Amino acid sequence: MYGRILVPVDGSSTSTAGLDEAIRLAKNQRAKLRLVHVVDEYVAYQSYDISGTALYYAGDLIDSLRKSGRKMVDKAAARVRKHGITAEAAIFENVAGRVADFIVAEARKWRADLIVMGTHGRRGMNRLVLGSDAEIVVRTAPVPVLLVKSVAPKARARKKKAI
Amino acid sequence: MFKHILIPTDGSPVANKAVKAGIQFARHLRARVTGYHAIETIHPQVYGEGYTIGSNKIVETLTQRAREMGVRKIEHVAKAAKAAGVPFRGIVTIAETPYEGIIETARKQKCDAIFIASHGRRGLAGLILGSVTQKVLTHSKLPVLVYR
Repeated sequence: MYGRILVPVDGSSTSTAGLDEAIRLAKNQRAKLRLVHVVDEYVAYQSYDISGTALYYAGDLIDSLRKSGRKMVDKAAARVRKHGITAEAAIFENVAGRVADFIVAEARKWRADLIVMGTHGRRGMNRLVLGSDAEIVVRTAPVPVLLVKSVAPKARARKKKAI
Repeated sequence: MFKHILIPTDGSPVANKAVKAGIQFARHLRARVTGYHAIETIHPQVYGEGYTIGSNKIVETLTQRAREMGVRKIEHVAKAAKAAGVPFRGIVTIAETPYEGIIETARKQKCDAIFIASHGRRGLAGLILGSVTQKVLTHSKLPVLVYR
């Protein structure tokens, strides 16, 4: 039914919760996964000043973001393959756009049947707004989106205690 | 994988599409389905100095009618589930708001996922996320599949 599943990853525990669910689903559906990571270069470019010296800085930062992103996404793909699931990994660089727009565009281009992503299960204000990337994806995706709440480690410990 | 999927519906065309897809999803996973429809609590209107228009009897009648309509909407889901050979149970409850009813029912029935349309009868296709769906996403601890 959902043979092509797109999974945005960023290495956080939230995104890992989404990836784990995607693995379970892919195993069950014999689906193919495509992991995408968007390097948010915007963060780096925000840090340069008029003198231009900081631009070097930005370049270094972007380079390391790229490298660590590539490493992270490859590691995630290896983990998926360990379960006997076909996985491809892709990395994108984002300068001015929204990360969510890349994900939606990629879902369209790759003809994904489903997007699976983790959202943070934070309490209070943050809980009320979802992850903003996740929310934009749900609002604009051309395909169904499976959102997986990750439970914060602290909350998980509390829950265990309560039992 | 998911064993018990909650599929809420408000009976709108968009929700009906999600119901169909949700049942197919359940069939693939060999999961069972609980169909759910929420009836919103009807409050008598209070005017002036505690003067109410709409007696308890009217509220009762309206609730009864809403319940009958809800049951009909669920029967629609039941039929689709039966045709697909998916184990099914239908539930209609009165809830303060639909999203609370959805989350409460998922919890009580021990569902492990919610399959919901991106918007219902109040939404605008392709543009926004329905208010009920949005609230379910915000408050549910279960995985939620938003169908569009």
